[in-house]
Amino acid sequence: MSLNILIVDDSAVIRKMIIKTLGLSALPLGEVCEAGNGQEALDIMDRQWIDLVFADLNMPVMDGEVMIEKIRSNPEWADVPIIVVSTEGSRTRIERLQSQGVRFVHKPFSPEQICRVVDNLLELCHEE
Amino acid sequence: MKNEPFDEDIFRAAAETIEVLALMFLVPPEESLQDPQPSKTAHVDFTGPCGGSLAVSISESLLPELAANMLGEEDPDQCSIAQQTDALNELTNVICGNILPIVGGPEVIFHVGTPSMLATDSGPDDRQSRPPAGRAELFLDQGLLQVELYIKENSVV
Repeated sequence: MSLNILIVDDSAVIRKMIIKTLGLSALPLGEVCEAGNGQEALDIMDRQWIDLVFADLNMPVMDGEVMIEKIRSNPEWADVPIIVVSTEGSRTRIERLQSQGVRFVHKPFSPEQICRVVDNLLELCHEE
Repeated sequence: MKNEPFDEDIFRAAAETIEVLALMFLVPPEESLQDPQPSKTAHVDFTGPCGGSLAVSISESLLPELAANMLGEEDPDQCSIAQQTDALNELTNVICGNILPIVGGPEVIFHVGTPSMLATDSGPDDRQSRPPAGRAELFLDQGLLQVELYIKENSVV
């Protein structure tokens, strides 16, 4: 089964870097969607099923934290795995996100770090 | 808040960012391309326990290389101006994000704005009024990268 992925970042370069990295991972890729902010991401999720979200935090229009709250509060999307890829360095904010079941990859990231988080996520999914 | 200056912290954060994100490595100054002073500058503002901005300036010759390396493109000439701009903006954003926990401590929350390019002869208001709180120069094969951190006066909580 392939997975539909949504990548949310206001930097097109970072979105492309993540897409390239996912091509190197064991993730069975379905459709890969891109959004430049949280609102665009929610609009995409309204239209199509998404299995995994990669999200930045600091974005214009709607930031990643607000977007994650909206995803978690929607019964249809509440269990969608989310990986935050951000420069965020505040322990307070990171712990707040992790309490919502979000995984965290710190920028600057290497492709190996992204692959490792994705592989761990896939292992967990298989165990469930 | 840590005592200024932040030169060493900025150097370390910038070196790690450019090495990990763009696979570009520092060289001794004499091995760096002798390009004119950095002419492309991106900056990002931040607010929180203190406010300010971080500016990253690079040699024009470095910009296509930076974008190509971040995107995994073999030919820098294939990178559009928009991609080059985006690459420098993102580099600025990441360096800033990695400096702020050092400036304010690991618990505090900063809000980082959207990075943008500056015109060659301009700068954020607070850049022109006083010296930076920290500054670093990094030499790369293809040119020079300068990073400057500005913290607004009386903005520390």
